[in-house]
Amino acid sequence: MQCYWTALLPMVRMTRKLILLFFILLLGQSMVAQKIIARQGKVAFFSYTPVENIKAENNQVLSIIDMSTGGIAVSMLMNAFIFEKALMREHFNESYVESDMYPKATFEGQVVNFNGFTNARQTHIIEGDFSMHGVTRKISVKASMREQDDRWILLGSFEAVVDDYHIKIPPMLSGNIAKVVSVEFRFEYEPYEE
Amino acid sequence: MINRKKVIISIGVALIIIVITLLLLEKPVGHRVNPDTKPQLQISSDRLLDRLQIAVVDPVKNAEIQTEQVVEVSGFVKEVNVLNDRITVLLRGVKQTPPYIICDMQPKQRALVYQLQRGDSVVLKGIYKGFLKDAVLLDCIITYGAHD
Repeated sequence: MQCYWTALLPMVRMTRKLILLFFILLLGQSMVAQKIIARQGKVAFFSYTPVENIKAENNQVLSIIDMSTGGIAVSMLMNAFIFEKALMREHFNESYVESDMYPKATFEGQVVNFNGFTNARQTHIIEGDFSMHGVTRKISVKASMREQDDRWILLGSFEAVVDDYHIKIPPMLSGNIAKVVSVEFRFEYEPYEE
Repeated sequence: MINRKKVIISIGVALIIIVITLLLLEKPVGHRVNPDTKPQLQISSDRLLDRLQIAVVDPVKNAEIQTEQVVEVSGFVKEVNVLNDRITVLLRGVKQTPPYIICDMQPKQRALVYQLQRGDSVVLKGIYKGFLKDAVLLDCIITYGAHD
């Protein structure tokens, strides 16, 4: 009987090592695949014309970054933009972006040459597909990224041609809306609990 | 003489109408939600979040929760923050894990919101805007607080 257990001992040790190795690999995998999330990202757009300046902001924009690949996704509810004037909000939702038919705008892309965040501010290019009002366009955006107090900050801006997204402006109001609007964004990320 | 008077009066009335119209067009965004606003849905945060998560897979099952509805939701305070210079209360259900309900509070609610502590039971009322990874409510007010 004792010979039987002595023969089995090396196998038991090997099995324990394999189980330990398995859990180390699993833990390592989960650390490498860390995602970070911003639930209250800010996206603001500005339209400047001689007739009128329009500004709106959305403070509940969702964004997730995969720290292992530099993949980035953004999603926002179009009816959550806040305007200074009630009529602007109505026109925006009912006539321009038609938020009942196209409730969300999204971005899916990649941070080019992503090496993670550092304490120093770094500038990166983010490339990907921006979808709004049923139209998807490839865009390239310059953004600055830095780590601060266990949070990760991403901010940047780009310009969007209104016509590119099939947004129809009534001729009477064409002087009130710029053909190209400026878009600014700021995301503050934290670790993502799934 | 009489015709001249009528013309002047007509011009005066027209000018008044134009001024009122311009004032209405420039009308700032007001608050749709106040203490007297009747909610179209009263629900707990657990139930709201469960239904919204189901609705992501099967939109037909989300028929009772429509965007732009005034929703009164009860839950527990997960967090209060001032990110983006906005006063925001994050509500959770009984579980301490996501998803949450993000409530963008009206500025006048500042004093009340700052009394809230993490874990407090609270009832908020706001306009439901949609669901991403969390539910989003704007124009929110507190209708029942932990200290009531």
